[in-house]
Amino acid sequence: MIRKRKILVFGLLILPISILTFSLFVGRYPTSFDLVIDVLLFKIFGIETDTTLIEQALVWDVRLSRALSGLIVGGALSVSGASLQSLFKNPLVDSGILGVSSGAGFGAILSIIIFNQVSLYTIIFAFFFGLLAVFLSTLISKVYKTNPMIMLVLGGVIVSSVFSSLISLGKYVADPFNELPAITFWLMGSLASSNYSDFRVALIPILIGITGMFLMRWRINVLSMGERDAKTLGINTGLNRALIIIFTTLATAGAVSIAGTIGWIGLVIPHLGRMLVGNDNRKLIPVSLSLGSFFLVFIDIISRTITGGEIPLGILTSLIGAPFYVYILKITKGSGW
Amino acid sequence: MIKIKKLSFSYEDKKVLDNVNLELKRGQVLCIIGPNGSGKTTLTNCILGINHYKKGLITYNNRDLNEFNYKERAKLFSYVPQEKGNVFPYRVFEMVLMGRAPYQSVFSQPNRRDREISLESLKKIGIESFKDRLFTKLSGGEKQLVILARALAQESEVIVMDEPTSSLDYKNEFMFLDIIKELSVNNKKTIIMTTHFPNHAFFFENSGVDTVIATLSNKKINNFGRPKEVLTERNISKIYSIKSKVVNYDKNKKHIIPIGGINNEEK
Repeated sequence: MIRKRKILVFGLLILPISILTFSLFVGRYPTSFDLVIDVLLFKIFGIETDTTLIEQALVWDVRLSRALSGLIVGGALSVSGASLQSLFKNPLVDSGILGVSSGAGFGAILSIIIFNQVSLYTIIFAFFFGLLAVFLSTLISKVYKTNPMIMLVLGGVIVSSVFSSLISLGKYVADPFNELPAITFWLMGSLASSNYSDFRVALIPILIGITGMFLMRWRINVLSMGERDAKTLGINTGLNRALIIIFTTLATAGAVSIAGTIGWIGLVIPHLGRMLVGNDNRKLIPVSLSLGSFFLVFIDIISRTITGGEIPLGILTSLIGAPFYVYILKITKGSGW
Repeated sequence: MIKIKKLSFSYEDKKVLDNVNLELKRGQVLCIIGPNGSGKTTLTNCILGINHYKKGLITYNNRDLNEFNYKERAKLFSYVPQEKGNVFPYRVFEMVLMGRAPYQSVFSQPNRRDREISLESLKKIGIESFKDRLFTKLSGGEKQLVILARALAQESEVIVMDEPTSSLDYKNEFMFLDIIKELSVNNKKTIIMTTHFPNHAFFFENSGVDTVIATLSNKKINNFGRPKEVLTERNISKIYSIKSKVVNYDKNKKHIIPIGGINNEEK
């Protein structure tokens, strides 16, 4: 039992670490194995090696920052998805259910139109509009007091649709030569422009969100029993629900603000986890974290190596993820679903 | 131990309970019977703290229950719902472990002792072998037993059950009633259960359990007392508008048999 658990923990750690390491060695620009090691030795331990500034920038500033961003974004989206699925007692929910993705999308577009380009403001706008969208959803859910979960989902759907319309409006009025391509590319999700300053901005909310959900993961089980059961099990459902919504929103808004809207991960990675380790969130949350971060870096490596240009992540996640999902479904036979 | 005084409750404008009074002693089994829509579930929801009543008082050892927070309440009352539909296929042991929630803080998780208590509860009900099965794949009767084990893991003094046998077949129904009997006699648990079968109350009384029954109709408790006093042919016809016969067997045991609808002139 203990041994099995150790193997699981080891596996969960090794997945993201190995893909992160792997991502440093591959890319369109040819880099030998020794070169990457030399750059790392120089950057981490300050050992003088025979590397150029460009090579250092490539491995350290481009590939590493990009992989790190991928790790936190993938982890944030899938952990949020897993938490919200349990909270809403609905396996079809994903991380954007309360409108955070469309809100963030609109924020990003707004900033692109105002400043004519993608900038640090894009992240800030995206983040705060993501929060605003969730806040509006919760406000709408309070208008009529009945089943609070159904009203929340409805609120999310309504807010999402409003922001989707605003996104379309934004595209319609955007300058078709500069702004529109930037908007389209942003909406399909990409880590192409990631750098350490963006990474740092998003890291804080994502870290708070993931840590919160991680700590509450057993309580999420109890909340998934439904309002009445959870209450009679001694849980202040209103407070706990609010906490989880805050944590998922921080994590998702952080993720969307640096990577754009990336579908699929927040919905399907938790299900991969459910098939592999069951539905107990004590295991599911760490497994989603590990699988999600692994998967997004993996997809990102493909997106930047497979063709001369960049393929948006939103396209690849499902194209590559779907067959993978079916394969896991086949070998685990769904484990209870 | 538990006293309900002048409790009234309404949903929006619709009054469901009007001036309800009840008293329950430690280790007793209270059966609440009454027609559909008579407010049985509303009453148990008030006791559990799910419904917030504005008029009246429910006390535990002379302390107002409204002063208890969710956690404290959950250590006093556990709950076995009518039927448990569930989306996520948790394992039985994971379900029972949730009974330990009132003993955790927001960020903590059940420890070894919580796991032992949960396992102990499964053993007590005799379903230890279900431990690793998926809850969603169990039959209705088995599910009910798991939820009862969860209530035991909660280590509450009182277990509130809402028509717990409504989805069980004959055999499972009596197995379930037997377990309730044991909990009351051996574990000194206080049981509050709503039921559609007056005979449940007779079953407990016949087996020597300290049983009381309350009949709920027209928003009020009309009769309260020992089953043999309350469950008379006359009272049954008043509550349900049906004819019935109360039969005696094995010297002092009682059973009630419904024999048909009532004619208006006889009313």
